[in-house]
Amino acid sequence: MSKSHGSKPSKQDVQPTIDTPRLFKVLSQTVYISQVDLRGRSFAGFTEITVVAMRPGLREIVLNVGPDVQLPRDIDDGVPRLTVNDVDADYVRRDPFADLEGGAERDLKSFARKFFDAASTVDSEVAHGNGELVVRVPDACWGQADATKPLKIGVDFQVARPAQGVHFVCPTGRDGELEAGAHMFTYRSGIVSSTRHWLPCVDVCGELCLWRIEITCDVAFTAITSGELVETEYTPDMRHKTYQYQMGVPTSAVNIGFAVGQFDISVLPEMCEVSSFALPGLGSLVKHSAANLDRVFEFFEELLSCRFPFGSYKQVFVDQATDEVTAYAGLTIFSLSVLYHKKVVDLVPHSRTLLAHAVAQQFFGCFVNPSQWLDVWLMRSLSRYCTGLFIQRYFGNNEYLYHMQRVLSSVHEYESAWGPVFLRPLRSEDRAREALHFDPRNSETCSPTYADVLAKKGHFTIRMLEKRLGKEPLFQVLHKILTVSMQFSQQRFLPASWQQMTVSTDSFFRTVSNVTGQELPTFLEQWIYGGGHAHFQVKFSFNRKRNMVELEIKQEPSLNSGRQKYVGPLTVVVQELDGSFTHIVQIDDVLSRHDLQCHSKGRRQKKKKIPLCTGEELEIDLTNMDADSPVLWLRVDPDLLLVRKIDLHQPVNQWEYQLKYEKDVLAQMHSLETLPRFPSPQTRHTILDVIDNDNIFYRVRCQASFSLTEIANKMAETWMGPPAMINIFKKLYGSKSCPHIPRPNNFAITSSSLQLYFLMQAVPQAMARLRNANGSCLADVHKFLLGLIKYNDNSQNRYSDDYYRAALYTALGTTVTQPQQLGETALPDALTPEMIATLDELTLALNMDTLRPSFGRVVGISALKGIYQMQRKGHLPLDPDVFWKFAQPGLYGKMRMAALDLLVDLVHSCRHSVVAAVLERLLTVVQSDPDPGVRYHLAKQLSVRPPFSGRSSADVGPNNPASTRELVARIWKIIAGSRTDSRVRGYLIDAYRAMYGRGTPTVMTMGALDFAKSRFSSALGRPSDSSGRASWDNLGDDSSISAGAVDSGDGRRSSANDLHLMDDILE
Amino acid sequence: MSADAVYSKSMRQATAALCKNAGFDSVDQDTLGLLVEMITSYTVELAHSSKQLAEGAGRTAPNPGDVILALIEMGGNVSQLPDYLKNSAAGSIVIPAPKPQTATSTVDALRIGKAKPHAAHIPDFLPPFPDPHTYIKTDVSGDPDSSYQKVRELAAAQRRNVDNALKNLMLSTSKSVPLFREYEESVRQAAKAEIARERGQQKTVDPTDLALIETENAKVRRKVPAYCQLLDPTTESRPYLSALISEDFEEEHSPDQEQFAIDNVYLRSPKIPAQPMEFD
Repeated sequence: MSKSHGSKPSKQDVQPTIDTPRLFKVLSQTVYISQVDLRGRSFAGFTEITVVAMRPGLREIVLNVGPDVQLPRDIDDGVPRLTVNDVDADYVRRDPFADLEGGAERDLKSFARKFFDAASTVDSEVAHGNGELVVRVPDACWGQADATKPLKIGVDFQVARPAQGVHFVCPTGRDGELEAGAHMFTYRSGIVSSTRHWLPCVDVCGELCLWRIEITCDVAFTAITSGELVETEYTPDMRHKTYQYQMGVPTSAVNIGFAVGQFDISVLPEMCEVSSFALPGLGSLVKHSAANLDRVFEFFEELLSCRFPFGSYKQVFVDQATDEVTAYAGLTIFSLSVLYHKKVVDLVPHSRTLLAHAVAQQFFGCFVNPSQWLDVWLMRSLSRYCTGLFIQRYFGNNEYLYHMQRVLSSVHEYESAWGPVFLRPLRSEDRAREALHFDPRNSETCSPTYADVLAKKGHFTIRMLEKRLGKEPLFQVLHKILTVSMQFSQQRFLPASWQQMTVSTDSFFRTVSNVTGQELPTFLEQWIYGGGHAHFQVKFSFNRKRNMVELEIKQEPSLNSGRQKYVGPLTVVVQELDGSFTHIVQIDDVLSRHDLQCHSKGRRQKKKKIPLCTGEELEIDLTNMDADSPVLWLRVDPDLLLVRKIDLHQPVNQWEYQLKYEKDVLAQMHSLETLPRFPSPQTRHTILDVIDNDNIFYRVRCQASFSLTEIANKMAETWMGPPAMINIFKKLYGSKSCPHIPRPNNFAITSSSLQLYFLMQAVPQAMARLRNANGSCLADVHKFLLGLIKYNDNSQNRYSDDYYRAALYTALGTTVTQPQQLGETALPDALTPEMIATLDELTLALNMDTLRPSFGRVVGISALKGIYQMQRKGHLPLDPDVFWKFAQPGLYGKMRMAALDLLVDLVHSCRHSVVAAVLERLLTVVQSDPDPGVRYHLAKQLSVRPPFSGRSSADVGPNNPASTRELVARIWKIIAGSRTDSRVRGYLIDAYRAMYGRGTPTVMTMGALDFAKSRFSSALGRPSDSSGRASWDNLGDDSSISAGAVDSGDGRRSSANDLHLMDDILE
Repeated sequence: MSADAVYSKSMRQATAALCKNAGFDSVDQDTLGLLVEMITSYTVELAHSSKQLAEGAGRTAPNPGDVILALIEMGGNVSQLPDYLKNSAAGSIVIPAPKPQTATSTVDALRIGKAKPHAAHIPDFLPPFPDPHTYIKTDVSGDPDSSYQKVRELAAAQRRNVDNALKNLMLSTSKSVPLFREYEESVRQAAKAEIARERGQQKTVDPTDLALIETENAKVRRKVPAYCQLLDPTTESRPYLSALISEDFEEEHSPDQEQFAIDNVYLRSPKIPAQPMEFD
């Protein structure tokens, strides 16, 4: 029996609590946790769940519980019991994923279906009777059950060495003694929840109840969990403390988490309800990082005109966290990487955004709940949307627009590569599964990367909604939702009304139309229930006779499955001599033509100021203009009203005008991305002016330096003399008497100084990408960079220069190119003098970083990347062991991940015989590394940069040393394993899809003979006929995805990786 | 040899000569010593008395009369003196005058440069001037290069030297990761072989000799440049501490805020449970 969510919005019952298909409702849950053993990685617990049957005849109560939770029958000591109303009850456990292995096909197409079906059997959202634990109501309690009186299910349980959901961090000294800083915490291994992995409960978003949690731990430890701390009490032996918490706001099990450990508390002086917990030794960092939190609260409370919904807010900063932010009700668990030191300026915006995002999630996600998984996107999007406004308020509108642009591009990059993202797929439709390699309709089967992009696309869509409705009406809607929740959260004795605290996509849009009076059927169909993005190819020309711009807009929705065929309005803004004019054109087909009337009439001779869309008037030098046309530039959908990608064709002079005079940063960025297609001294000059202009947004200036590199590289033959960027750098940062020596660092927290600081990091990296006609790095640049490193002087600076130095080493690593002639690489003597200088700097930096670590090991990471570059380009012998050394447990997490990234990249891009062993070992790390953060990171990297790509014919299967049947078997075993961590499984399914497509892998379908033959033929250098090639992907539309789209995406990603400036916010 | 020693030597010789003149062939060491003492004290006494007599007469230096008077006062028979001198003059032993000693020039440790000769008004016996550099002022000739560029270059070079020295020290004392693994292994093999050969020639094998490892490492280091070595990354039980709190970031300890003013449930002290009443 399925809930009515699949039906059309209008038909949904307004009050789902009255005629609910649910068999029972959870009223409250009490949790006692004791015997917390950090070294043994275990704890014992008892929970009491009070449920009430919704109708007579309840004989079974189905709960969720993960495989690592030991129930009474698995526990040896004591007299563990599972009772209903204190009567011992029988129970059955189910293992939904016991039988995923399947036959020899090993194809994702059938696996997706099977996996979804298996996951549905334990998903009580699908049918209220699904779950891993079936408790039989004893005969003695039937009377109670039939009278719909409360039933109390008491369960003794133990959690020992859990594979997911809970992580223990126990630093031990050489003698095996526990050192300071031991702690444990819960994390989400699933996309929505993994509470079931440490607590029997009804683990779905929509089931709200009241909580009471008691945690008994060693006196040295502090226990922090959701809810209000009522009391702390010593146990009679005075060796333990019991923390008693009560959660008065109805909350779902999804949002319950806890942390126990040796934490130092710091309290925000302005707000004593906000407590931050730090590991010993990090107290000052936490205090500093959390210092501005009162402003965050003020901002959100004012924005949403709603007070913070919980009585207190706790932030815990833990080591080895899987995510930067994990939000539970009234409690956020942060990764240590969020902390920043007061001497490190680079991390501040990112960290503050994350802290704000955590608070935003308290409102949407923790307090207001999604009613089920399919509505989770909405809560995540709303919290991101509010965080976006925080960025706008505190970091400026330009930053906000830039951020939105990045959200947009990551959405269409994902969709082009993997398939459409459906914000709210309908339960009854298989459309989403047909288009993707997994089923997004269950949180267990959904890919974690997809879920991430889902929230981004949702964020973007909410902003589109804001643009349609207006900001004020949208906030009326949000306010209404919060008020309703606030009101019903007070109704502690009316459990039926708690349902009002959940929001579904339907109810949200119903509220939208109630509050604003607007119905948005097309919007819903296009962007909420439908998937994909619009892709426009726009061309135009000016017709002088008619004084019109003739516009041609083309869509090619069939080119890849991530595109949709868009029908509807599209904004086009034409900047003419007489001003900026907005036109709205109706797109009605894949190819549409439009005529836009121009307003300017040959008045160009008169010297006149030109009005811009901002209302400002500018004097513009018109000498470069086409004499016939009054069009200065043209923009399509400038306000980001659609999820779209635009290829706009306009003449180079128009792009230049747009860059120079359009005030919108996205327009400037767009020009900078396009201008490298037109390398000429003129464009060079224009871009140089941008870098030099301190009135321009700093990110644009940074981007300009990279565009300049691209142009300069295309003009390598014609350009003589020192690179222009060296001159700019000397001018901005050089000392007066000898420009090649930079002034001693003196950073300051003023906007102009920070802009210069970020530009100072970008320019060296951009110039390091300069190449001469032979494709090798310019000697001038190399020398200059070595000078920058050598003369860098931070002794007088108040702030740390670690990130700047890291940028320099990254730049130095980027200068490494293929040697002109390949010599003997196994000998140090074979290195050229330049390479010796580079290597000397890199090893010195890395060694000094080992001895005196930089903040977050950024310098060491950059230097290690440089050494990797030298190996890849053939200056050093290829030796993965170097990176394994830096990937071992016991080193700082970021350093390990960076080293693993390099190994993933090695496997991804190199066809040397060592990669098979490296890949083997990487998979072992994915399966069994002690740090779950590292496991997830690595698994994700394998899906982003798969060992080989099924799309490229040269790479697939047989002629790749890494592609073996054993590999298929190994990955399949992890994917189909019943105990596999759900996020690891999700990432590896993505990787599998990238490697083999959705069909059976080629290596499996080939006969042994064919396999050997094709391997032989490829060894001879002939193109392999690969008999099974067609079968790598069964879906026609999939294979038509252009490889170029993927490659360009990868390239951009890797270059963005190098750039600290471009780091992801909210990612 | 000090002056006293010279005098006492002459006194001994004189005493011994007196004994010889008196007819003795040999004299005991101790007796001679005693005699020398007696004669010395007698002579000193005589000299004192003479000096007093001379001063009593208003003179500064004694004349022969004073001496004779002193001899008489001490009970000496002055009239016998001429005879004694006549008798002993013949065949008497001549005591050589003590040789003037050549002053052994004590070598001044670390004399730098030539001391300035004494000015005319300073007697020669006064000690020479100390080393010239301790008092001589010389005008700087030619500007030292103190330009901004030079200073920055020197500062950079110095920083680099410090870092390099530390790095090389650590490389030589702790484990490292080679960047040229095969090459380094072959070098190491060669070094081992060479050492074994040397040992074979020496034929003295001391199993506890740690020098073996030293020399092997040294040989490897000589052939493999330091820039081909990475320090083995050290694993720690709490690696985040060193990565997040650098030693450069020393904390300025701000006085703790009045925590007691903040009302936070976590800062309250835990309740002590009521002890169950014990009954006998």
